[in-house]
Amino acid sequence: MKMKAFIGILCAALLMTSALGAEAAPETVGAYDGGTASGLMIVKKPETSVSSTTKQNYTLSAVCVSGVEVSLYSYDASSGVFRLKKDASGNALTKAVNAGGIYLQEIDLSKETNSLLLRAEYGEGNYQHVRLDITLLDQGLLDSIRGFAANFRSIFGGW
Amino acid sequence: MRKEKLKTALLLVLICSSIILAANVWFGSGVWPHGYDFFVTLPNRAFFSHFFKQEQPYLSPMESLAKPRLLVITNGGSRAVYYNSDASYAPYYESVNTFFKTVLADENALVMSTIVGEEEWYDVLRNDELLDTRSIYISYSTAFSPRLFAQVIGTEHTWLEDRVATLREFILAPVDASGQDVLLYIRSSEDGSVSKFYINYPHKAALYDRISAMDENLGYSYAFELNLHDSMVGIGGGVEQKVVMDPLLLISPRSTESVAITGANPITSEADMDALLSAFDYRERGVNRYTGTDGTLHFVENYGSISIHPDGLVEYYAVDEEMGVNILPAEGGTASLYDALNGAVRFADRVWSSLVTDQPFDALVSSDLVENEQGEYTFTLDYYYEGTPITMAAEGIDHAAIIRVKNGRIVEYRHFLRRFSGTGTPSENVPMLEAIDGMYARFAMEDSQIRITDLYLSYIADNATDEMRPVWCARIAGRQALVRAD
Repeated sequence: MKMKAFIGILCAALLMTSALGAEAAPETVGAYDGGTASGLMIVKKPETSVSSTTKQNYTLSAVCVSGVEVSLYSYDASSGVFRLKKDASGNALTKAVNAGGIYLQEIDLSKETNSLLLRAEYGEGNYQHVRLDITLLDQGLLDSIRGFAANFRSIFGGW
Repeated sequence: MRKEKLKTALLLVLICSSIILAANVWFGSGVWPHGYDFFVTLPNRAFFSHFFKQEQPYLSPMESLAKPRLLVITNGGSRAVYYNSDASYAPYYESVNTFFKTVLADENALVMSTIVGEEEWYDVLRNDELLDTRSIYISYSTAFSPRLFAQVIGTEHTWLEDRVATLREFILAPVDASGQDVLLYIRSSEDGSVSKFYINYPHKAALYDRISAMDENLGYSYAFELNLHDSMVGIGGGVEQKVVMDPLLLISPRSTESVAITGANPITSEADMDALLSAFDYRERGVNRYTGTDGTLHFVENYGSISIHPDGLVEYYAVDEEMGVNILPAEGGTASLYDALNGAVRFADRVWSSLVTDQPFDALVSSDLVENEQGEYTFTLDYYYEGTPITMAAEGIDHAAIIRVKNGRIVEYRHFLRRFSGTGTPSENVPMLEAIDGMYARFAMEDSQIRITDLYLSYIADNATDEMRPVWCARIAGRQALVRAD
C-alpha cells in the first residue's frame, strides 16, 4: 500500500516537473540550435543579425504571434552555449507576448560585441531562434569620426 | 450778507453732491443690467476707452500658451522627455524660448532654407545607430499660424509667415560645438512637409552645452527607432504586425508613476455664485433668476443668459451677438486671431479666478489657431494636472471650456468648472505595452491591424469627484473617439 502511494506521488511529481519544463524557457540553448519553427517572431530592432550602435542602453523590439513566450539569451564563450539572461533581481528575461503581438526588452550592452539569441516559444516543442550580434562602439571612436567630419566641413566651408 | 454766502455754499454743496450721485448711478456697476444702458457701455466705446482704460493683469494661460507641451532632449545615447510642468523642463524651455525670440523676428538670422524629405526629419531625432545626434524636439498642444506664434512668443512678426502655413512641431539641432550654425526643422501640420532652416544663432554655444549636459535616460524610444511604425524591415517573416504606431510615438518598456487626483466643483456658496456673475458683469439686481427642475440656476438678462448647473458647468449665451461679452481693449476695433484668443483666454481665467484664488487656471488651448477672415473663432481649452492632460468624460462635455468669439465678443461660453488636487499618493501606471494589448483585444476586428496615431496618459474626469488615476488613452486611425485602455 505504501509502495503504491509512493509511486503515485513520484508520478505526480514527474508530471508536474515535465509540465513546468514545457512552459519555462531552458536555462541554456545550444549554439547551433536553429529552432523547430519559423513565423513566430520578426525581430524589428536590430534590423539585421549583425549590427553596431553607440547606445549602451538598448531596446530590442519584435512583433510576434500572440501567445508566444520570448526569452533572451547571451552567449557564454566558456561553455559554448547561450545562457538565459537574468535581471538584477535574478529573474529570467522571459516575457509573454499578448494580443498586440509586440515584444520589447531593454538591455545594457557590454563593450564590444554582444552575442545574443532571442527564442520565441509557442506550445510544446515549437520554438524559433534568432541570433543577434550587436557591437557597442566606443564613444571616443565616434568623437574622432565627428572631429574628422567637422574638419572636412570647415575645409570645404559647407554644412 | 453772511447769510447769503452760507446759502451759496450750501447750494454749491448740493449741486456737487447731486452730480456725484448722478454719475454714480449712470456709470456705477451695480445698477444697470449688462448692455442695457449707454453709460455702462461708455467706457468700452473707442473714444472714451482711453479715459477708462484699466490695467489688465498678466494671466497664466496665455503665458502657458507659449510653452511647448513636450520637449524631447536627445544627446547621443541619452534621451529625456519633459512635459510642461516637469521640474527639469524649465531650463530647456528657456533655451528654446531664447532661440525663438532671438531668431524668428530677425530676417538676418536666416542663412538659407530648403524643403527636405521626411527621412531627414527622423534622422535628426534618431539616436539608436551610429549617428551621435543632439537635438530638441518641440511639440505644442495646438497648431499656430506663424503670425500668432510670433505674437505669443513676444515678437510682432516673423520671417516664417511667408514660408510655413502652420506650426506645431519643431526640431532644434545645433549640429556641433563650433560656429554659430543651428538647424531648425519645422514640419507642417497641414501637409507634413518638412522645412529646414539654416540659422545663424549667436548663443549657439550655450544651447549646445545645455543639450550636451543632459545625461538622463528614461528608456524612451520613438516608434520609428524600434521599427514599430509602418516598416517592412526585420529579421524573419510570416508574422503580421497587429499594431502599427505613429513614427513619433514615444515608447518605453519601463513603468512610470503618477499621483492620484480628485476633482471638486468650486461653486459651493451663494457668494461664489455672486462672484461668478460679476465675472460676466452681471448684477444680481438687474437679472431675472429662476431655478430649473434639475437644480440649474438660470440668470436671464436683456441680451444674454447664464446657466449654472449643479455639477459646475457654467453656460453663457448671448441672445444678441452684437451684445456679447466684449473682450477687446476698445469697442469697435478689429479682432485679429491674437486679440480674440488673448481676450478669450483672459476671460476664462477671470471666470476661474472669481472662484479659485489660490490655484492658477492650469489649462491649454487645444483647438488649432489659424486666422479666419470672418473674425469668428471657437477656442477649446483643456485642463492639465502637472503636465498630464485631463480628459472630460461627463455627458455632453468634451473640453474644460469652449469659447465662441464673434467680432471681438464672446457669444457662447461653456466652462466645466473643476478644481483638481493631488492626493499625494503616487501609484504605478499600467505599462504601455499592457495598455496596447488591452486596446488591441477590445477594438481590433478579428486578425485585423490597428494604427495608433497618439498614445498618452490622461486623467478622466466625469461628474464623480472620486479619486482619479491616469489611464492610457489612444487615438486609433479610423475611429473618431478617443480610446481608453481601462
